[in-house]
Amino acid sequence: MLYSFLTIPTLLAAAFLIPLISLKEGRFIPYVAMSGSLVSLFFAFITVPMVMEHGVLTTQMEEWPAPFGITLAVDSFSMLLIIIVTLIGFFALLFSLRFIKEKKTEYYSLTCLLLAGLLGAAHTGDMFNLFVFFEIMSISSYLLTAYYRKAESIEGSIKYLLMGSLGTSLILFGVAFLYGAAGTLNMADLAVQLQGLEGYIVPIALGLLLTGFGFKAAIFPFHAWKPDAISVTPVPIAAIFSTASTAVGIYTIFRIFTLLPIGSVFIHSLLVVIGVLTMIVGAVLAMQQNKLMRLLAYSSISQAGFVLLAFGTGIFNPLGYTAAVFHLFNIVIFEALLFFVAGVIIHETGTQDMRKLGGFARFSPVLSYAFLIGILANIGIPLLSGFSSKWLIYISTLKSFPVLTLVAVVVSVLTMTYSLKAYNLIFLGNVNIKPRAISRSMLVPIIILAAIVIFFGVLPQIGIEISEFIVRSFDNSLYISRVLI
Amino acid sequence: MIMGLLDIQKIIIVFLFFLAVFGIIYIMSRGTKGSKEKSKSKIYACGENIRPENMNVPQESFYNTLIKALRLKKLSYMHSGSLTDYMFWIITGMVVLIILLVALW
Repeated sequence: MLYSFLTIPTLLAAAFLIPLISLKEGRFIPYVAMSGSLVSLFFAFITVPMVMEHGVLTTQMEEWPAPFGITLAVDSFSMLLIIIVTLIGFFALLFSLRFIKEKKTEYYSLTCLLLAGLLGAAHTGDMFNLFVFFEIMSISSYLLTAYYRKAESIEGSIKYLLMGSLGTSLILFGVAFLYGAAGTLNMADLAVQLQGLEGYIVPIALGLLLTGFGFKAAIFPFHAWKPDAISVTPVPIAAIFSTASTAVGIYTIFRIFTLLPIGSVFIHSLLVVIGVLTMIVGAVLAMQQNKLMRLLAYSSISQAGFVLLAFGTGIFNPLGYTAAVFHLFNIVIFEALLFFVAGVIIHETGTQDMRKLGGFARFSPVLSYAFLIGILANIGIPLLSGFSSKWLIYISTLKSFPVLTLVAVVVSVLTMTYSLKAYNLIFLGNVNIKPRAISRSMLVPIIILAAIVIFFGVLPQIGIEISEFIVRSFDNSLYISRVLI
Repeated sequence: MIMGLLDIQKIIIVFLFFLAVFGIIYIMSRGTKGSKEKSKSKIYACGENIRPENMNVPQESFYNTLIKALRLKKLSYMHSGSLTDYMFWIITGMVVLIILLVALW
């Protein structure tokens, strides 16, 4: 039984129950969303041992056999994504308890829809369904971006909507091209049908899909929407955009590249180039920011570049794949930590302009330490989770493109420059804006995430072994045989 | 096998290199002090505010992005906050990707 699949109807049910409940008793709304998210987290965790035992779990909708019916398939890689989305989703909702004070029906209902879309994208084994789940995720994202109804949030939302619509249209075109070439939309069947297929349809489809999914993952040159959208979105949603949404975008690219028979040296080298440009552009632009949310948005773009770089080197050295998976998990955790700390700061001071802040460490040493842990992991300092995954990236690039190791280290230094600037402006120096009392419910996800960062920093072998186990799922033979029984 | 890669000597060498590069960047950037400009202190366009009437994609100015970018004064030209510029980069990126993929497939 694919229990993790139940996360999608659970969150969809919560999304549709919330407006109904709001008609009668509005104060229960956050708890309905939280319950849906907690139940989803439970379903996700009980599926883990089954995936570890069987490798790939599949289910067919309405019992139509693949490739005719809709396939849902979970292997260890998609399981990682499901855990990420449910965990970050739960933390974001917990953080929202104090953060969100108005339009709760709209906010919680759309957040549950967003999470359901993300989980659907991680579960599906069908290209058209992938598009549908991306649309569910995108439409709720556009609405959540406009949540504050201020001029800049509506502007950010419209920009995101127009660019996002272009991105999803390109995905749809890519899916149509693949269907034209192979006559199927089932991913496992596509992997079989595309074997040895000549002509230009597949590279054109791949270009369209890479653009569309690249937009969702905010990789260069499709990243420009992210800082504009994130700086006007409620912080818990910004945390989901920058971690879970980005991870699902990257996951989709990895899934296509590892499942379909297109994993050539050229394709991987192309990913290396995109990854390097993404990490450089993200870091350089982060250095120029004075708004905390924009800085974190560019930082997450830069870190996604590291993941792509590592994945690209995977064809030359399997260590690259391990590094990519481990770093993907790590960036989700420490970026979420940084966003939640930023959320508390913005909530308590009412500004995200770092030049107006200062001396925050005096009011909340816990926040100060948590932010420090987040930025040090982001830089890649030993004993924190970011170090071990970045170290694997350095080693994997050293074995395939030595000059890129140098580039990666220099980008880490740039990360250090803007991260320490942020810490200095926010936490040290004179107190410019006196914060109000900090809510404990906001500190809970921050402390747990900081503990995870330290755990995987002190015991990196656990993370590396899990990542190695996940990388085994990149061999598509088991996936294909399980889906196409 | 992987744990063998976490070699302390290599870690120290990279860490020292890391510190050296940081030191160079710090020393180089210490002397430059940015000047404040009022129009650059708002949220958009790397500091500029874009009006709602500019939230369209005028076809006649679609290639202005390229003209601006070719001056390459700052990377932030690419992040002007203008929707036209962003659309330009998405479409250009897609075209470049497709050409590369078709040519080298």
